[in-house]
Amino acid sequence: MKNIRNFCIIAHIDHGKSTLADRLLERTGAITEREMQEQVLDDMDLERERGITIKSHAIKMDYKASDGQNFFFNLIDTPGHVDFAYEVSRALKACEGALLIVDATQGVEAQTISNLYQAIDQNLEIIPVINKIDLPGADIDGMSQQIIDLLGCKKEDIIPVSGKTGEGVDVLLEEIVMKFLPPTGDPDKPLRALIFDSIFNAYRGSIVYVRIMDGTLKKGEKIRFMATGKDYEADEIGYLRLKPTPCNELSAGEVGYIIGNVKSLEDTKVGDTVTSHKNMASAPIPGYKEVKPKVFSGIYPTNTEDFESLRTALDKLQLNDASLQFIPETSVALGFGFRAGFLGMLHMEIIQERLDREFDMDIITTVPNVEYVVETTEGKEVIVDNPSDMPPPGKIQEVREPYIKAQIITPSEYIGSVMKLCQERRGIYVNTMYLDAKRVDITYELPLAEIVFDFYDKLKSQTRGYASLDYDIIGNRPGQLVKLDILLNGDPVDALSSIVHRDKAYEWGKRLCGKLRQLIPRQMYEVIIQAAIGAKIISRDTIRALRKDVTAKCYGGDVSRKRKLLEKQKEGKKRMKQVGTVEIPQEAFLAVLSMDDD
Amino acid sequence: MQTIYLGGGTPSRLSLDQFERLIDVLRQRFDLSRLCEFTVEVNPEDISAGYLHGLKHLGVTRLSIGVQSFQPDLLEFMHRAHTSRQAHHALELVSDTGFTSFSVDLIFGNPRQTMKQLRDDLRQLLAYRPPHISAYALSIEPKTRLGKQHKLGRLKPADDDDVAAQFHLIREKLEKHDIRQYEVSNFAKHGHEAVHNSAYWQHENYLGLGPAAHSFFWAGDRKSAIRFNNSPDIHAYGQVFASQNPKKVNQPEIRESFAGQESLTLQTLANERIMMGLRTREGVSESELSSRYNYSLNITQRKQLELFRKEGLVAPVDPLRLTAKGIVLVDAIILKLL
Repeated sequence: MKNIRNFCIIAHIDHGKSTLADRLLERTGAITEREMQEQVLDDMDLERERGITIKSHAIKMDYKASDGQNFFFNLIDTPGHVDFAYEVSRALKACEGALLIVDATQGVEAQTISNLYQAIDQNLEIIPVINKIDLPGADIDGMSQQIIDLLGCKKEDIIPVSGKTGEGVDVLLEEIVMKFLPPTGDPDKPLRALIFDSIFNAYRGSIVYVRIMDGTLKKGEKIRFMATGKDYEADEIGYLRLKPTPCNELSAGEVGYIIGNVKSLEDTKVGDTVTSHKNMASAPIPGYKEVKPKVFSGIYPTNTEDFESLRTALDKLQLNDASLQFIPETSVALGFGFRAGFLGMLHMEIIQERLDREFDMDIITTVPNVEYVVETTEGKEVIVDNPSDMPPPGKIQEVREPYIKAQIITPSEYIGSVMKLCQERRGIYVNTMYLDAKRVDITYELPLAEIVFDFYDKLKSQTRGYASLDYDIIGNRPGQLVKLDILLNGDPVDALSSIVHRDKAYEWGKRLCGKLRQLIPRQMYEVIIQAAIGAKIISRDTIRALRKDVTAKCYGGDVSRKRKLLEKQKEGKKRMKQVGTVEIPQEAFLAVLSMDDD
Repeated sequence: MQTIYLGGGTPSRLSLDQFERLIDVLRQRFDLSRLCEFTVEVNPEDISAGYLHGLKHLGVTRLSIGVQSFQPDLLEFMHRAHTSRQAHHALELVSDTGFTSFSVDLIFGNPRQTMKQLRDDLRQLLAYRPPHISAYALSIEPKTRLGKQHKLGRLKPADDDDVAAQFHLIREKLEKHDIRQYEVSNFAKHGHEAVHNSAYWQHENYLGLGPAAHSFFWAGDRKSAIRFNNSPDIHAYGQVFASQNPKKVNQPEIRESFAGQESLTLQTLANERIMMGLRTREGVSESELSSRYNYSLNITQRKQLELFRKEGLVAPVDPLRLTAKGIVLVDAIILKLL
């Protein structure tokens, strides 16, 4: 056990985590150059395109240290987006050390700090690393000072490297041996293995990634997942090399995988403890929690007959993404579909894209919202994750909405813009802390609903990309929230309803009507768009009826041309939703999200 | 053969001698004894009294004159080769020559065209008592000169509402002179409707000669028809006919040398027939759809028709045809119906 080092990498998106990881794998011979696909740790196409690690993975490396001793390194990869914070915390729990990677041209970011604090809380040793020192703009001294301010370490503790050229990587490997502690744990105690990740394989079922905290797991042994209470057999166990490498036993301190013919990821939840059936641990590893979705949206097939295919697609996605939740729902406007819960907007976008790419599903998603708690005048509490479920205004005593504490790190020249943005989003100022002369850490309390859509993009654009954001849910608070309905020719379109703050409702309604007027094409009849709170109309717009729609010439070859155009238009029409007499294009259902684009 | 139509280029650039040779060739190849309409498209700048007399002498019964407008600025905008004066002169020559049947092309919906200009155009045109008028709304097509200007943002198309108002004005004015709309863009005095064009709309057979010309052939008892077209490239077109005997043009191996062809199923033909029928005053009857195309409207279509009838867009009884209110929306109606 003393020759094992379990560690992870804490880094902001784009700070070169994956490139550096690749270099470590290459130097330790875990992977040959030929096998080397750029950034091997991210193996979903989508991840590579977006440059973010969505699901964490782990890999084992052999390292012969300069003193001649052989070591095993387990590098545990962590997701780099705020939507996946819980998975990060479990990955940290499986480690004794963390490499803190800071881009030599960018500096420390909020997400990094948040993860770093978590790592320090969990007593991880930290090796600070300045990456990308090969870049012309690298400011090693400046970055060192930031790190020293942050960690209270010495300048000599910081390792400058280049993931791209490999410079400094050898020094880093030695430092990992010297500075990170070997794992602790007793191989003879009852088995406790922490699930820090699980993936789904179509042939093998759920593959569970574990760190053995105590005890020893033997191949074929009967195991129990403590939180879900499900029993399975450990048909195959092994180490996580570039390819899974089966072994007969995993013991305390080691990292590996378990395959037990588990049909669904539902049973193998991240954070859960695996124990042995015959010698059961008395208590699970602390810190398990159900990951709860924060953002909800309706997902509907564009063609109503695709409902079952959509269900199949979502079922399949859920097999390898347990954080995706969905239940069937019905919309008057859109027919049968699902209300799905996501960890955040990024997660939602990923699911949308996967439905499109992997399942070729043509879907309409409705405006996302958070989960509200409504206290009715009858004293009942209703959970509302769909605006349609909002009780009528007269029946509402109080509406509570989730709040977050947001930590924003930005160069000090953008303090004004950041505060303005937070203020616009109903933020409550908490404090400002100078990290150094040029960078501040601003804390705000904000309604989650105000940040889930486009806050991050706005923050980025108003600070020229420099600001970074991290947040924690801090509970529900009452707010003046109302349901804003959209009516087309007098009929409410449930899928266009949203829950907004009363003070913003008028402005919001006006802009939404205006946006819909642009997005809904002129039709054969006049279309009146209204925004309403309860029975009160607060805004109105009109799409005038089509006055003329004729092809002038239709002789000889024009006939074929015209017919083909008609066929094409018919295809296009399939992507429209007919609500009453009004045809609504798909984009209109997400109009709210693009309201600032005008 | 019932009709001949020479157009889609600028046939009035041909000399009378060339015309004579062309018509001789046609006489040799086809039986013209039952010919009831022989139309030639002419541009105002090309014609003279002698030329028109010559055409008449060669058997031409009808002229289609590309006047477009009498407004100098619009003619210039459209890059027309003729002037307003030439347009007037041409129309004078046509009546002097004694052509009893002729058609005048008129364009409306120009980006800068005003109602006043259109009223003026109509007034000037009606003075010549034209038995037939084709009034086309300008459409800005991609890849054309105007299309490119539009793409570059240098040209703003006319507002749809304005174009609709102009369309209504045309219909109203012509109606007063007993020139009635019998197709979206075509207006005629009783008995002067174009026989040739009507054939297109009723799926009658036609043979197109010359580059880019389309032909249509449907042996009535067959479950499918073909539409084929010659290469738009004049050299490629010439080569086909240099190496082949035009007499065999309907044989499959020769058809393969056409630039494009499509086979049309009964279903496709029915869709076309409804599409074209709804553009005409005659409309299309359900019995025709049933007997010629083995087609009947389904429940959704019938419900849609009921809605249209209630809105006054479709005439209340068979045949299927659009009202004056419906005709300006014909494309949207067809899209909903098919």
